[in-house]
Amino acid sequence: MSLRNKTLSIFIILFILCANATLFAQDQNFLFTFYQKHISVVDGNRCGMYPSCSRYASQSFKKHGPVLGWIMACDRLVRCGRDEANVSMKVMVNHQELIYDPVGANDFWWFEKEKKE
Amino acid sequence: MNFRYSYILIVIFILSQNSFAMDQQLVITSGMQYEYALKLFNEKDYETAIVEFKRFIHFFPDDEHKDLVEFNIGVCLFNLKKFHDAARAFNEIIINGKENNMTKEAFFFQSKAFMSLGNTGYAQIVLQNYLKLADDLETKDRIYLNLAKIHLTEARNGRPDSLNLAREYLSKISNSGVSKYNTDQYLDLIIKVENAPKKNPTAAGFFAIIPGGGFLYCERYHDALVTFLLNAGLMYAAYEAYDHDNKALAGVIGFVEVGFYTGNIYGSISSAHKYNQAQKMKILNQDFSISSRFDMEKKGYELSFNYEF
Repeated sequence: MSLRNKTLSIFIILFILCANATLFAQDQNFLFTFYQKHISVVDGNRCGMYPSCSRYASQSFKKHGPVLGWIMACDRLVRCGRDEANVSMKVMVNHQELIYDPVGANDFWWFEKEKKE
Repeated sequence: MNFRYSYILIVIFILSQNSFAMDQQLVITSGMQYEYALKLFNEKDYETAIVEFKRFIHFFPDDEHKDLVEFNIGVCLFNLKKFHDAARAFNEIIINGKENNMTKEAFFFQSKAFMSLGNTGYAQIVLQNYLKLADDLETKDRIYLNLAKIHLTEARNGRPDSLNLAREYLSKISNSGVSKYNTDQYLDLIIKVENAPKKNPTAAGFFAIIPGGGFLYCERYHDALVTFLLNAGLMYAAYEAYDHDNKALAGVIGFVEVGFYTGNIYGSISSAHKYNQAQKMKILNQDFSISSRFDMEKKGYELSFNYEF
């Protein structure tokens, strides 16, 4: 691997991390707002969970910061729909039955404890 | 001339009608008003019953039934699922502090209203306060039983130590109360919940070293397959990109893959915790009627727990 490529790789990773840290930690972050307003509308809402995966990601970034927020968002994308229905409750939103899976249902096992301590 | 006679006859007729109406005037006594309101209450027309009960209080404020009427208004509000208003109505009765059955029942109903609102904390406080005031064994037994039930409901939410607290309250019930309320059924339920199948979160995290292994352990077969394929695909893509000298692309894919891989471990641990909670809920749901509702106006989620006092 040449020095040029190494530098470029490190630069890209650092750029993504910095972009995460600055953009996602904001209340109304640009990326999620852009996705929800312009991409999801055209792409169609197929998410079977409540809150939707993009909203969940936005909330997890806001609550736990970029590193853990990113991890939780990836975890949610994998779990979207399917087996989650066996362990979580369902809610009716706009005449549609969705699986209720907020951030609090996925961090309760360590976040609550941390708060109490 | 004929016109004059006709006029006199009409006047006499109107006057006679008026005096007839005067003779027919109905006087509503407190008993009649109460009976009518109670009839509406028994017919489950609670909205109208509230109006009639309020009319009773307005016209007969010193009647002996006044306390019962105030209590019935609270019950009507409760049956109309206006739990906030019901709790407030029962609170008025409690604050008045009269020594009668209505005040006793108001404590239980107020606690029940808070439970229906999903506020187990307030429901407990009401009963704890009543426990300090109650001096007879029968009432104390009833309070202990209801406190145990509240803790069983809390156990369903995964609140730690709830089962032990429920057991503690059940153990305080006197011998006569044990047979009266058949507390053994609740103790059996606690044992059943404690022995519910469990998944070890640490083991789930450990198995997740192989992507999807943790989900497989938690009986989430679809998630396990998706996780395995996604991680394998991303790892392969990163390797290929690196191999083809696309180092920058390999870096980006690697970054995404790290998220999904660590997400797989995190999700596996979460899934084990969720599995344990779901098993508890499954057992407790057999004995408790629990309903959920999403409030679109308040953008909030509401859970209500119902059980018989």
